[in-house]
Amino acid sequence: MMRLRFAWPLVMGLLLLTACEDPSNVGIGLVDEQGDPVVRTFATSSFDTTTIDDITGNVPRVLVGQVDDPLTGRISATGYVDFVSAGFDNDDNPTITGVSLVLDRDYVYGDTAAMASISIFDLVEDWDETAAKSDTSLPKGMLVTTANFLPSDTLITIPLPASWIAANDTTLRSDNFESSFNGFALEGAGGNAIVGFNETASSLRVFTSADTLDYNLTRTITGIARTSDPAALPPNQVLVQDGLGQTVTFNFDFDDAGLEETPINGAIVRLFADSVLVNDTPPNFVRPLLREIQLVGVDENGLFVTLGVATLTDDGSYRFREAFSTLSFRDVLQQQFFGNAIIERLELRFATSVHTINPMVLYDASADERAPVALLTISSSGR
Amino acid sequence: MTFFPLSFLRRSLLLFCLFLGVSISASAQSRDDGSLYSRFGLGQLQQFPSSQIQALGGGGTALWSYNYVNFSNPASWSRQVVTRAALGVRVDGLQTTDATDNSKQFTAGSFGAAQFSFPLMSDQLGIAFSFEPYSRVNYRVQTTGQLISDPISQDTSSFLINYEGTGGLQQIRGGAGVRITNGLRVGASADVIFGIIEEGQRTTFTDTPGFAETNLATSTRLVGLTGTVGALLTASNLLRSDDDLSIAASFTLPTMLDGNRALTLGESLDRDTLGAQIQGDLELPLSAQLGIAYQTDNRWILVADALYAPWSEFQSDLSWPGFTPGDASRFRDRMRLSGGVEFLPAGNDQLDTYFKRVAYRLGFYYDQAYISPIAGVDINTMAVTGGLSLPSLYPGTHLDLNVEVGTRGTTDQDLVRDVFYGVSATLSIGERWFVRRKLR
Repeated sequence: MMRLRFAWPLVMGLLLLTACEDPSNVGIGLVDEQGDPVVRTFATSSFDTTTIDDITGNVPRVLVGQVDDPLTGRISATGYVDFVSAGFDNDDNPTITGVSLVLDRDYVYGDTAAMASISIFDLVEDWDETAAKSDTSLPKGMLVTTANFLPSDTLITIPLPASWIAANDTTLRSDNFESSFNGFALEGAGGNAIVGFNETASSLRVFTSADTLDYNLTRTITGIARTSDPAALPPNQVLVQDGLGQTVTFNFDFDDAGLEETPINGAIVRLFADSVLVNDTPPNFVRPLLREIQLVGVDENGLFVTLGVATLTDDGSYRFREAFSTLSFRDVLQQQFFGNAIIERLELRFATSVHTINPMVLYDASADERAPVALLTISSSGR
Repeated sequence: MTFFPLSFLRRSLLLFCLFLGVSISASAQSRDDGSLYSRFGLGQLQQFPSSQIQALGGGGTALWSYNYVNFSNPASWSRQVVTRAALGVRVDGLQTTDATDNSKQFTAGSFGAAQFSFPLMSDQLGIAFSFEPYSRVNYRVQTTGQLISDPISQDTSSFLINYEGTGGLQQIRGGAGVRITNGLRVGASADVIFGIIEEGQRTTFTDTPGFAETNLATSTRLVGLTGTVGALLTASNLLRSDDDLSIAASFTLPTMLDGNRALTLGESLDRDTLGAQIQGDLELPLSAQLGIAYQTDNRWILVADALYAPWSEFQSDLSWPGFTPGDASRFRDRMRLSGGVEFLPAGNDQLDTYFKRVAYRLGFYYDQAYISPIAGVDINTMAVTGGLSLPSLYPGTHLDLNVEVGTRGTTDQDLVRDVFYGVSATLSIGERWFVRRKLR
């Protein structure tokens, strides 16, 4: 006689006899096969140059110098720097025997063979580097010294005059050095190059009778100005340049594409560059290419979000495909196709982690095969 | 007058059986490993009159029993003497083969129906409820391919598309059967049909950074009310003493289901609804069943049934796989023929050996599906059914083990042929409730 208690395990146990197998394509003919993804190409509906405020405060590189570039025009850069004390030990009242500005050069733009000059000025007021922009200009005090250097040198050491040392002896020893000392303005005084100094490896070196102290460079701002127009470019090309905020803003024409409620698998934005033109430089003239740019989406209030980062490819283009963080161009477009527009326009911007004045010449919307394009991979539903 | 159940434990088991069945039988609709033919129309139509009838070919319109409640004909609900609940589980296996002999196998488990019934007046008036599947959509098929995702660099990307369908319709039924005369019984039920049918297309790029998976799904909610009426004519002692010949008919009325369809993109809670939801109706046709059953001295049961439903008259404001509004060319009238035999060696002898008190069943059915992927091509199912009914210590309570093996479809015209099997177990509990206490 079957006991009831044996029935439940048997009944429930049947549910364990299941297997989830990977699906196959057997019977795919019964399913509408119009669902294969397709790639559609879109041209820009607008493509304009614009100028944005480049953030030059609190970045790990400060630019100094002046350059007259046949492509990008005349540009000057003034660097504002400040330091933090290494902790001066006054116990034995050592004598300060010398102070040097030690600058680690990790960037150059311009003529590397001709001598260049830097003028160093005291800064008379405290300043805030947070979100400072390239149009910053701080009031300068007395000229401290002027030094010559070769832009190709990687380490530039500028001894400060004894008069300056004597005038700032107490400040250099002070426990409140940071609040007492406002830093220097570094200005190009000659030559044809703009150099960049690495914040982490540059310092104010104080020599005493007992020790050598490095007051590390901790705050920077770079003020950059273009004082003459760049060269005229062919009609289907535009100049973008880091440091001066010269960039482009654009949009793609999706409105009449019939893509409402269409799922997007991938979105690629391509902009084509004329790196040959940019690489055409005078002898001994270094003009680094703008290797990396960011694609940002800007809303109606001017707020922006970075949607992608691209590096210059071997075929001379920037290709944005992957997301920069959690939001990508694909995500933004998908919301737009849902009827929820997040951004108003796209812009190219420059990374603040590497401060340069690198340029690039881009082809604009009239450039036929090298015009900017958006490539959308969409899933067609076949419904 | 005081009423109390005989066994608290068994009542608890019975209620647990009901709860389990009602609360999770919908999970039977969530599997997506099944026949591709379930993609079309409203899915594969399901029926579960009783575990006894399932083993006898699935018809049983004219079959009545004190040990089972027959949900194919509400008139039979009048023939109850005990409160009864039943819960079944099932494992289905399927091998799908195409014209090039490529095949794929699936196995899936699910809960079947949950049924509950009780007599108001013994063998005269009975009530029954059930929660059972009406249709099932459960398929999954995959295709792969490549495309040039960047025509400029000629980068190729590999993609995978999963076409998936899940869900189906369920029905909650409740009604009564009543004895009019010794030979005539009638019954009626109200049936609520409801459910969600989902179809999805999941596109994945496996080797392209920055490309996202998309899951485009259509989710259609349907709900409607219909009714079933039935009549059961019985004549006894015709060919021999203690025999019983029944002829019965039941009709499920045509009805309109209200539909609400949403197109979604994404996954689970992150789904975005695209556009406005679409409202639409669809009309389910009449379904008529005619059956005959012959029972003799409680040992032999013979049944034969026919079902007809004019699905060619199907109408819907919404489109479905195989159907667009105004074009029902791939819908056809459904016809189902079935028959079966049961042998209980011990008959009424409750003291006979165990295996003589086991009922042995065998049946068959032929089912012309109501829809075909290709107009003019019938999708027919032929199957053999069988089962055992294992008695327990408790009179009226038994475990039914059923098996079903069959084929469906054809490999002609790029279609597929399914070879399927099903194994099910149904626990049926019956006991007297509400027994009047006799005071001494």
